[in-house]
Amino acid sequence: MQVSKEVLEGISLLGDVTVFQDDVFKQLLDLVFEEVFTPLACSKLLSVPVVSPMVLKKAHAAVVTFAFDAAKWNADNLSITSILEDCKLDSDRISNFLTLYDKNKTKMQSHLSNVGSYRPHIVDVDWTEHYVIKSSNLERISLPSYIISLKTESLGQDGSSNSDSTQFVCTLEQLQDLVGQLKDAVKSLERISQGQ
Amino acid sequence: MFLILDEEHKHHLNFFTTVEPQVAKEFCRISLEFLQNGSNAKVYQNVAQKLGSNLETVKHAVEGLMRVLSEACKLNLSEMELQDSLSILDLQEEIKQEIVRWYVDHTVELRSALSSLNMNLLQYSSLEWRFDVQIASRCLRQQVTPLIILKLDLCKDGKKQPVVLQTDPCNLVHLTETLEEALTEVKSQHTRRMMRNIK
Amino acid sequence: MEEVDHIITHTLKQLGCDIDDEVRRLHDFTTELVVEGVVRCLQQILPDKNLSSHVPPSMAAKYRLGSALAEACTELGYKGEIGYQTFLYSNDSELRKIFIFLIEKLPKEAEKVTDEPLGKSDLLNRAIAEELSRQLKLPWLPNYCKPNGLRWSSPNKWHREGCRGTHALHTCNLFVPRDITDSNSKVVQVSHCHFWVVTNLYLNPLFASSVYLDFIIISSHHAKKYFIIFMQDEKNIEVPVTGPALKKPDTEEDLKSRREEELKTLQSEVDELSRQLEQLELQMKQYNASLQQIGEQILCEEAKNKELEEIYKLRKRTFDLLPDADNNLKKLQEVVEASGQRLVVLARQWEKHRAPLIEQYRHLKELSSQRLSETQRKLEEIKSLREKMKDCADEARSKDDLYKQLLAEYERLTKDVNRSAYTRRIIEILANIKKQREEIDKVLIDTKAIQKEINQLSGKLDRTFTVTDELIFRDAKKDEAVRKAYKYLAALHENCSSLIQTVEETGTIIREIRDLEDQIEQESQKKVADNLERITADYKQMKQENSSLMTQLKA
Repeated sequence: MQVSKEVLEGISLLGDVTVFQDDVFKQLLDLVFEEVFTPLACSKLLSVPVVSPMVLKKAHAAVVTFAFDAAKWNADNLSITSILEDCKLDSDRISNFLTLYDKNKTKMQSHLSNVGSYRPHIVDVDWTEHYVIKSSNLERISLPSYIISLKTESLGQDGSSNSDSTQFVCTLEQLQDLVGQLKDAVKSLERISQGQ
Repeated sequence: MFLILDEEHKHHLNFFTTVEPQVAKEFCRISLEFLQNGSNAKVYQNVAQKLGSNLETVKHAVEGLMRVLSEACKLNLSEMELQDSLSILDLQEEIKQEIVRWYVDHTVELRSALSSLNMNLLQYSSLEWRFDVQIASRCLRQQVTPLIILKLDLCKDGKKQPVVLQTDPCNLVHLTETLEEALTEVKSQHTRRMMRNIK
Repeated sequence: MEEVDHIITHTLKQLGCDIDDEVRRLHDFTTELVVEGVVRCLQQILPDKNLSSHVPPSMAAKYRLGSALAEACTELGYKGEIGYQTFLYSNDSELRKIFIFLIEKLPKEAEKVTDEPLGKSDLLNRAIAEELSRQLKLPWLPNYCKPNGLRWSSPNKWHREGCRGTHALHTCNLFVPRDITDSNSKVVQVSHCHFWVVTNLYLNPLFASSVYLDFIIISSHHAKKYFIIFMQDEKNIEVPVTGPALKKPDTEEDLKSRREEELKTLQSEVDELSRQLEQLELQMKQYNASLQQIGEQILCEEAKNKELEEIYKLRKRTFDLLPDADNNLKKLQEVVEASGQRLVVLARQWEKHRAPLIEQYRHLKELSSQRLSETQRKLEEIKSLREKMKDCADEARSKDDLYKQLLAEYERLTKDVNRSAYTRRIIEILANIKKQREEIDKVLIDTKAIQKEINQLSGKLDRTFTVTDELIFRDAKKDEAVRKAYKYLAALHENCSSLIQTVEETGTIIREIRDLEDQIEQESQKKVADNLERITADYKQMKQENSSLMTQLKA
């Protein structure tokens, strides 16, 4: 995990007891982690009593960036501690940060995992069985046929995700082939899961 | 059930009353080729030249024969039924037998060709799968996300359309189980009763 | 013995022999099973040996196979009697001996050394297997039960099962003030540092909040302008300054154009103001310059004035002193001398003060340098300590990982029930043996005691006999009856000793009989006669086969 100079500077501000008293520090930290999940929590930033809004802004931006970067790298407490120590934060403040970070890490990571490109993801399947009796080209068919609809979730063009489905027809033999392939896949997954 | 042949059709088929059984066999082959690959004017010309007859007549004869075969397939006629239907025509016994034999030999092929005409929906063709594990992404550098990539080859009008989808293990198991259920449904009491009754 | 048989069957099963669960004792082993087991063991011990584990139907082939096996066993150092019949016509005790011998000879499985830390790929494989088995164990859920396509199996564990809520990466630049370490500093520079920000998190509104939006500071120190402007994703701009009462613009376009207009007017205003400011600045600079010039001129004039006044004063004094010249000269010389002397005194005094001060100064300097070096040393120490701490922590972490791995592995290992059963059994047997040994010891002590008693008694008897003998012998010369008694005594003694001898002999004979009986039993167990019959039958069969082969050859 690498932290940019600007962020380090911002965090160093937090270590300065003359700039951020203990209660102010705590208030800021709470806000940082609160706003991850609650919109507009940061409007409360206005009420943080601090020497100058610029300092507040810089420190705030640095902490947010740092927290998310740590979650991104799944950093452990040790490396975080060493970075914060280098920024001259005292142990009380570090443990304050760590408790909040630990509490929110998985949530932050789950948010981070939302970013990315994925193929349409199958989430469900519907099927209907038909018994085809005759068609325009053929009398007396008398064969079963299936319509299978794979429900998928996908990333839309505009960046929003939407639900979709892929539909296709298959005969009994084709369905047998399909199920065979899928069973094969499941079996190999089970094998892998047993560490073989 | 019988084939009902209209007058023009009969007229076209009358050509066969004039030829040798050998020629009739050749015609059966040509008509089958026609069903499989489409018409081929060159073949007609060759045949017409060989027999010393009109190109038009040859073409009509092939098409007429083809229609007999395809109609018979459509109605799923039995051997006897086809024989009876053909007896309206004044064909040599040998030629008739030849046609019937061809029909019997190629019914399955013809029926599958005809049934595939029917699909205007996407038709399943094959499935390939692959097991991936996503171990890092830009915003999350340490993760283990198992994914199964499925490549479905779907057919429409003979053209393949690959569709690539993904899923997770849990959903894959669900998918497999659900489709297996669908598969066992064929053997269920209800379906079997329906099949028996409709036949 | 059953326990031993159990161990043998278990081991053979591990070697891949197809043994039914019902077969528990060696007694139940068929000839095929025996041959297969022996062959498997031999293959394990001598991997390059080629032996078929099937019993051929032909007698000659059977014989060959059996003798090959026997030969292999003797080569390995089997001491007991062994021949082809041992395998074909199995005898429990012999088989047991052979199997125990072979199983002891089995190469010990090279125990895999797992205490080496696993490689990264192994760790990854393990993690994948773990995650996969975890996910496969979960029941299926419809997608509307999974917010954002995420499945929370516990408050701290999630995995992705869908694509809802996913989006591409959006970033925007954050403009953050720099160099504000001294918050009272008059100069504030604005620079843009790049913070990658993941939008569509709830973070976004942060940037739209009134703290930063329209957060324009114009500080006019030194007549310069500084802006701290916060930029952000246009999509998400709201203008909190206008207040929530303001209705939202209908379309985004509208909003955009309005904002642009506003921006433009503001920009032009700012431009205008800055232009004015610059002009004013220029004028001020000019005025300042002329002011400085004038001030300098004044200073110059004043200095000149002072100089002139000095000259005037000096001249005036000389002029005053001029009338009484000699006297005044003398006075002046005295004054000069006095001041010279004073100067010397002062110099001495100064020296007196200076020396200790210099000393002190040097001392202090040394001290401070010492302290400095010490601090440096300590700093270095701290650094090295920190380094060490990091190393230790790393090590601890890796050890922890290893521990977890091993734990997982241990849990995954199929618990070998047999092993513990064996150990328990062995311990029991040991206890039994101990008990038996104690009993044997007791019996030995008993025997010894009895022996001692017997010795004592025989000694006593001897002594008594000699005493009696002498006593009676002395009297025997005198008395006829006593002589008779003496004779009787001698006869009694003789008879008794012969009786004792007979008893002892009986004992040895009984012991011998027991030994012989044991031997007979052993021999009868070996079924020598049976085996002999079988072997002769085999011999006949082989002869027959040979002769038939001969006839075939001839024909």
